Amino acid sequence: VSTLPGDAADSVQPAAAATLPERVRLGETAAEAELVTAFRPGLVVMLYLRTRDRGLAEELAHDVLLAVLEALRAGKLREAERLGGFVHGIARNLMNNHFRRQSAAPRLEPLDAHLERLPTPPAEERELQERRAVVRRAIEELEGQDRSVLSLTLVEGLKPGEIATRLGVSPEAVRMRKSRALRRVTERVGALLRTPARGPLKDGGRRA
Amino acid sequence: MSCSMSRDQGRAARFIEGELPEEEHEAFERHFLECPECLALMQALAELPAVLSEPRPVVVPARRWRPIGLAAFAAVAASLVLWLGIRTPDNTTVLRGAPQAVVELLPLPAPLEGIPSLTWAPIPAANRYRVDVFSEDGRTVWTREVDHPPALWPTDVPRVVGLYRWRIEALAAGTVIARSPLGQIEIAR
Repeated sequence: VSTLPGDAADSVQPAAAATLPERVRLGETAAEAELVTAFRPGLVVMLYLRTRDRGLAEELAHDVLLAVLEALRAGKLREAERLGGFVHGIARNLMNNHFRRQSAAPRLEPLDAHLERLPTPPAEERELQERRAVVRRAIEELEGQDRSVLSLTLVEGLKPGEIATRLGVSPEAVRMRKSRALRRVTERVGALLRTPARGPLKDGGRRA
Repeated sequence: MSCSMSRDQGRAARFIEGELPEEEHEAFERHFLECPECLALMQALAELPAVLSEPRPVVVPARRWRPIGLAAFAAVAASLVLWLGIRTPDNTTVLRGAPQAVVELLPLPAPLEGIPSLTWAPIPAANRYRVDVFSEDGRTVWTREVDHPPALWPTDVPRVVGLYRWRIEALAAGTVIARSPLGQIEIAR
């Protein structure tokens, strides 16, 4: 059994990851914690981008990690190099199951819909605010209508045809502006994240 | 910082846009689950909706309002209707080749106790009307459903100085049966 130096996030390095499934199978509690720390942020963002629901993404990520740990404890994965794909596969299955259940059952309002969310831990909150500051800077550099198109697409979930009606331009112009705006924001955010001064967030919110 | 994928901004943008083929989309997901650099980029881009939703600087609240360019707008709309449209027995206008009738927007009436109101020609088949008011950049400012015209500017929505666009959708049994073109209204200081 090998141990991982430094932050748990380092466990995604190939040499260290090679031992993780086996360590979990052997019942090493620290290995379970490392796995959760390594994969949770990625799972949350992946599931959020799929579901557009932060609470649901957190919930599903929790379920995925439980299912992964259960499978690893039962020795269902021996090849450590397949761990990422294994986690992704379970995430995709649980998400698909969720959507199937949701479409089959009548839509119910979540019980906690009107309750305040639990406060985010200070460190996570700080990272979130730093991320938003980066995105804010990137957005500030967009032309007004590009920003509007992005907002109507990502916030209001409108299709190009509907946006075109609202803004009085052609759907093709909306598509072009949307792609251009996203490309520019992505480039700018990427550049800002690569700036050395950014520190804590340059590696996915994990400490380097 | 050595991941070549994180520097492929086009791919990341198309991923966020949902434009990657499913197989490529999943491959990128598998990648950023284990790539801290790409994960950082995705975590930041995932905040786009939250940041775009943030309120923008508020201008001084309005004291009064006035419609602008209504005569010009009505003239153009009327010309279009004459050119494209035919009148149906229920007095709605149906555009040739278009699936829906058009709700005719009427000149903005004088404010009721200082509150702007929007009005339109009723459509006999409609039992509800959805009123959408958008900011100049197309964002929804408020939406309400009413049984009949007019619709008053809601008291809980600040009347921030600026130009707005508005639209009426006529509903019958919850289905949109007619829609207006965009009208314009200005909330003035």
